[in-house]
Amino acid sequence: MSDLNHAANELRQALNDIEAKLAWDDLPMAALEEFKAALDNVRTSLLSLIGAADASDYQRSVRRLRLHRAAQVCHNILSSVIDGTIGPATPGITEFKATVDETLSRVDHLIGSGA
Amino acid sequence: MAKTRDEGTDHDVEHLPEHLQDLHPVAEAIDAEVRRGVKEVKEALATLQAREPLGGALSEGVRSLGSEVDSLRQSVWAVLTAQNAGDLAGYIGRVRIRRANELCQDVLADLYADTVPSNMPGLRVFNATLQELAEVLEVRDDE
Repeated sequence: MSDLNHAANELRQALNDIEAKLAWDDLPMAALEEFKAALDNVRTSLLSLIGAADASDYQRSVRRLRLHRAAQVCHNILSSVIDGTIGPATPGITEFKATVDETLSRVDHLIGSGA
Repeated sequence: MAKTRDEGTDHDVEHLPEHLQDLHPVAEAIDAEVRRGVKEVKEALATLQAREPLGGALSEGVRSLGSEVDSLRQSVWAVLTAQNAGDLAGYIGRVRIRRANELCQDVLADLYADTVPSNMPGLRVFNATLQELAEVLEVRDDE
């Protein structure tokens, strides 16, 4: 089985899990919002793969999507930190802070250099 | 047989706590969007598997798709675990932090590989968000 078919089958199974869950339980809204955000990302990835004219076009598209998603999820975390649902005690926050600092430094450098 | 949300009635809403009744239409709308999203993703999958692969780009595409599937599975797992533990917000917070860290690491790898041009759409918005996030995390760390 190819990698693509394997990933597609995994995705189908995940979708079936979600549909089954939706059918027999009253899901909290926060969970539905998580599903929706994750689904939107999957859909965008698939449409990007389908719509790409060639390999380099696709790779550019993947990088733009990656940046867009990173910005989106960082914005959500910013809101969560401000409203207190994510804080210093949240597991992984120290590692994430280090990643944010390093990424910010690289982006600042890139914008400053105008490359 | 299990009852679906589509079969829900106003009578069901009356049994919700008062503070949740106002949220019911919003939850219904998001539920409908999720159902529509699942259908669209399944259709896109069928289209993708029916077309010619994109040569060298395929491995990156599969990796990206695999990462999104992991994220989707984490969302399902978050509900199954946190509903029992009664800490859905906490669990979702942890999942979001992990996901954000992975995404930023991916972007960082692109930056080190010099594959991100300084005029890439969204770069300045990302920079502003990172700046604000770094400042807020610094402040909270000191508290």
